[in-house]
This record gives sequence, C-alpha cells and structure tokens, in this order.
Amino acid sequence: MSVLYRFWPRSKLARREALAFYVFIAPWLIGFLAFTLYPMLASAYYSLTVYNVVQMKFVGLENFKELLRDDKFYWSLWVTAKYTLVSVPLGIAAALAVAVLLNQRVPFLSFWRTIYYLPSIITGVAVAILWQWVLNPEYGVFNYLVFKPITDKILTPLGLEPPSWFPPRWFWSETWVIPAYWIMGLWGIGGSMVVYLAGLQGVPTTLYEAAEIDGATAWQRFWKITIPMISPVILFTLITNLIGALQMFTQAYVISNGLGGPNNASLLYVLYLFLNGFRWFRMGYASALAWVLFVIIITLTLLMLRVSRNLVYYESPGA
Amino acid sequence: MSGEAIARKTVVRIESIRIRGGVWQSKKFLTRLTQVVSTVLIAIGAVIILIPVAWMFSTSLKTKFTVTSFPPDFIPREAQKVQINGKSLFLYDVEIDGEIRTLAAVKLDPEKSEFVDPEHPDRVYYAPASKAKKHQVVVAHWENYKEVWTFATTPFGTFMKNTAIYATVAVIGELLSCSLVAYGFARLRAPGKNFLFMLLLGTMMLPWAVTMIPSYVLFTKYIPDILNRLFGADIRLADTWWPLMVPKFFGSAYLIFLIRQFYMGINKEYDDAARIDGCGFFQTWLRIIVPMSQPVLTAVAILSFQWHWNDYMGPLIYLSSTRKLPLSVGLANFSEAYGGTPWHLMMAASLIAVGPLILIFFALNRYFVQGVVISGIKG
Repeated sequence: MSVLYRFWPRSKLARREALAFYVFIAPWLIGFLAFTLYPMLASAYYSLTVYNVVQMKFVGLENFKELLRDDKFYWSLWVTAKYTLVSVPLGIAAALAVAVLLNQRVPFLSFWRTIYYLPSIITGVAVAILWQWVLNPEYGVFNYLVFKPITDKILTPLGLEPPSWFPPRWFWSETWVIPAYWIMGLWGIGGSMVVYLAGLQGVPTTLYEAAEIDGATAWQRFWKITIPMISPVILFTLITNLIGALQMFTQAYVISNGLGGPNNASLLYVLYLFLNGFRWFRMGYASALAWVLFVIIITLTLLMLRVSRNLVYYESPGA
Repeated sequence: MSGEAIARKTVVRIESIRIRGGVWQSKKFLTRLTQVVSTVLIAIGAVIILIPVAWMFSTSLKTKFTVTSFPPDFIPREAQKVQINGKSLFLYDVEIDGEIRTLAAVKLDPEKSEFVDPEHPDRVYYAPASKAKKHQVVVAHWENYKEVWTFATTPFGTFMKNTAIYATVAVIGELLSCSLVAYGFARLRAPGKNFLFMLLLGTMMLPWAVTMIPSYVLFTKYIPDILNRLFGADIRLADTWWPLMVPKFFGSAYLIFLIRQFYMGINKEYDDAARIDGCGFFQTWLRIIVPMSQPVLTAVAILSFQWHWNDYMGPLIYLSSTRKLPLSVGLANFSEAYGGTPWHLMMAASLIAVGPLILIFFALNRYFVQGVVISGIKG
C-alpha cells in the first residue's frame, strides 16, 4: 500500500486529474491489456506448444529447434529479404526524387501531388487484381509498352536476339515474381512522397541562399542542406516502410491464391506464417515464427536508430 | 586573413561572375530551366502513374472477347458483324481502287477475298486479304458495371453493404476512443503517464502476426465460452463481425498518437478558460478540444475509413460464409466463381470497390494529405 501511496499524488486536485487521466485512457488501456498484452503473452506461450485450437501440448523449445531445420523458414526469410532490401530503398529514393522535383516551384503543385498520391488510396486487393492484369505476360499492357519497344526498336535493328527471358513473365515466373512486387511497390510511393514534400517545404530558404553565396553547387546544396534537414523524416519513413515490407501479405496472398507460388518463389515470411497458422492449424509453430519476426523487427529498428544517431540532424536543442 | 583581403576576394568573385555569366548562366535563367525540366519530368511520371488506372478503366468497358485482343488497346473497340442472307459476316475496311470501303467478308483468301456491300448485297468486290482490315467500332460496355452486381454466386451488393457497415462502425469506434485517449495523453497529468505513453508507441512496432493467433483463439473460443457459461446462452463468434468490430472501440496506437500531436498544439489557455467557467475535463474535451480539432479528426476518420474499407486479413481469418464477406475478400474470390478470369468484370468490380475511396479522396483531398503529413513529419 505504501508504494501506491507514494505513487499517487497527495493534493486533491492532482488526484482528481490523475483519476481523470486513467478514465480517459481506459479504452486504450483495456484494449491494450486484452488485445495486445494478453495475446503477446499467449503467443509466447503458444510458441512453446503444439497447438491446433483443439488440443495443446507443451513441447518446450521444440518449435524453435524445428524452425532451424525448416528449409521453408530460411527460404521465406530469403524471399522477404529479396523483396524488402530492394523495394524499401527504391521506394524511398523514388519518393524523394519526385518530392525534390515537385519542390522546384513547379506550377499546379496540388494537382500533381493528387495524381502521385492517387495509387496510395487504391490499396489491398484491388491493387493486386490491377497489377495482375497490367503485368499479365500475354495480354498485359506493361510488357507491351516497355518490353516490346525494347525488342522491336533496339534489339532487332541491332541484329540482337532478345534473351530467353524476354519479355518477363512476372507473376508466373519464379525469377520475376519478386521484381513484379518491387514495381508494384514503386507505384505506391505517393504516401512517402507527400511526407518528404512537406519536409522539404519546411527547410528555410535562407540556408540555400547562404550556401549559394558561398558558391555551393546544386549537388552540394542537395547533399549538404536538403538531405540533413529532412533526415529525421527519411529515418521515420525508412523504419515504417521497412516494418511494413517485412509484413507484406495481402497482395502476395491474393495473387498467388494463398500459395506463395510459383514454386514458393513469392512465399513471403508472413504468408508462410499465415499458412502454418490458419491452413495447417500449426498455431504453436506459427507463433514461434511470429516471435522470430518480432525479434528481427526490433533488432533492425534499434540498429537503425543507433546507426542513424550521428547521421540524422535534429534541429530542436537537446536532441 | 584580414578583413580587407576577404573583401577584395569577394569583389573579385562577384566580378568574375558578372564577366563570365551570359544569359544562360544568370540565376534567373537557371531557376527557370530547373523549373521547366522538373515540370516535364513530373508530368512524364504522372502519365506513368496513371497508365495502370487508365488500363483498368478501359478494360472494364470491354467484353470477354476483346480483353484479350492483341496488341493491347486502350480504347475499347470491337469488330462488327452484319446479317446478310441469313449469314452473319464480319465487316472489313477494304482498300478497293485506292478507296477504303466498309464491306462484309464472304470469303477470306490471301489472293482473292470476296466481299459484299452490306447495303447492296448483290455488289461483290474482290481484294487480297492484305488489303482488308477488320472494321472496328468504339463500343463502351457500361453494362459491365451492372453485371457486376448481379453476377453469378457472388452477391456484390451484400459485400458492398458489409464493407460499408464495417468501415463506418470502425470510423465511429476509433474516432471516439482515440480522441478520448489522446486527450488524456495530451492534457492530463498523472503518475505513470510517460511509461504508458512509451508503451503506446511501443505497440506500433509490434507485428500483427504476433497477436493474430491468440486474438483469434480469444474471440472464437475463450470469449464465447465465458459468455455462454455466464449467460447459459449459445453464442458463437466465429464467422461473425464481432471480433472485427469490437476492438475498434478500444483505440489504435497510431491514431491516438496522431490526434495527441494535434492536441498538443492547441493553446492550453483555452482549457484553463473553460475550467474557470466550470467545465469538467470531459466537458472541456467535448466543447473546446474536439471542435478545434476538426482537421485532425477528419484526417483520422479518412485514414480509418480507408484501412477498414481495404481490410483483408481480418475478414479472411474470421469470416467464412459468403454473404458475410466484405468487398476485399469477395473481390479476391471473384474469379473462382466465374471459372477463368473475367478481367473486364474484375476491373469494373475493382473500380466500383475503390470508387467510394476515390470520391472521398477528391472531396477531402486537403485532409488526406494533412493526415499523412502530420503522421510523417511529427513522428
């Protein structure tokens, strides 16, 4: 009791305010306990069991040992890495490039911003359906607009034979299915772009003017002023996009009919986890997979925060 | 270096700029050039971004025969047929004596194809097949948009209704709970507050994969068990919307954070004035803070609506009967019901499905952008 006594404020007014605080945050607090904390603990326990919703058997670290022997586990990690390591940097670079271009006093700014943001509204299943059709190897418009001209206008006149993978078969091909997801991701850069644009607009113009008087080139101004000034925003999008990419699920599930095909080439980590949990009802094993993902995410996030400590510039004092 | 030396150096530099710089090196010209080049690049990018959408729209107006035409055509065109002497014949544009005529093909032959004039079937023309091209007419099949609703085994109207209800309930739930909780975090002092706020931020990092399985077990097994034991009823929560809708009334970390950031920017003197006038905390929140937070609340409502309109994972896990499904899952099952992929109907259905989002986006564009910006910049 004495602990609580010291913890709780003494003045009546402060006590009332503290009580009000807990009443106001009660919805979240209850929700946190019931739908986050409890599931977290339960999931940690499930990961030590063999569980199929009906029967549960405690097996200790058996799931984690099995995981180390599971080829598909390593494979799904590799597929996810292949997707994430390209799509995240590519998306950030493209979003930044568009934002910088838009920031050059381009006329009709809000019109262009609207267009670039448009794909970000169409998310989920509709995007999956749309891109399946756009990248359709037989009737899709992408190969027709990109690869046919390359064959007809460049390779054929030069007397070159198009390589055997030409044009790519995208979602139907083991090699090209992940690059297809990169392209799809690139289409949705609007969200990050809008954030960067707002960040760029917040950079004081006096900095550029001063640099210009000192004789800095446009390239130097970009790397020495623009990038440092918006580095907190870049770090933020980097972390959120990375966490999002590691959990990519919906499109891959819809496009591969929940199989991760062709031949497991798009078996992303969370897709494999979902199949374990809800198709094969190996809930214990799926929970073990989930915790491994959690550890990966935490490690990467902390690593990025650590590494970026000397790279990111915060304007506010004390940071 | 002495001040004089610096001054001299500066003068030299300025002069050298003046001497070297022609019109093309003047600052004004360079700025204008960058502006023009940027605009051109942006416009090219915008066209590329819009191509898939245009392709989607054009496909939605085609038929199942013309969707697979090659080369792909952005304009929905199709060949025409005419009835001549009880036979249905394709119309061709044929070059005859340097003149293009629209004729019906009786017989196609590389050397000597036979055509007749549809107006006067007795007039016969001959031409090599290479001189003939199928006569194509632009036809937009708007009826595809109707067919989607009545299509086969998938009750599209029901999907739409389910999604609309889900998204609306979620918006109400999250708006209510998040704005309340955000007020607590933004304004009220209490022991443990900082710790709880860190906890709130921490949950944003938690992958949903971790909580997914126990939540499923909780909602389909434990909660119904407890309820049934308490009330002696026979309640089942699997294949119902309850597990999806109820948690929305308990806030979402990300949205709470968003609203809290906005509340922090409201001058505290408004609160104090309200308190002096005798408002309690709840009154202050309802009468002062909420009305002043309309921009962020609109942004949050839009974000929430968008997420739940598109939500796929949740319904995929909890729902199984067809008539309970939302658009997202229904859309994904569309091709199974058809046998083969009815691309024209899929595109029409997808466009109808995203239609409400696009309408809201254009109506409330400002708030959309604002929501994204608040979350990104102040994060």
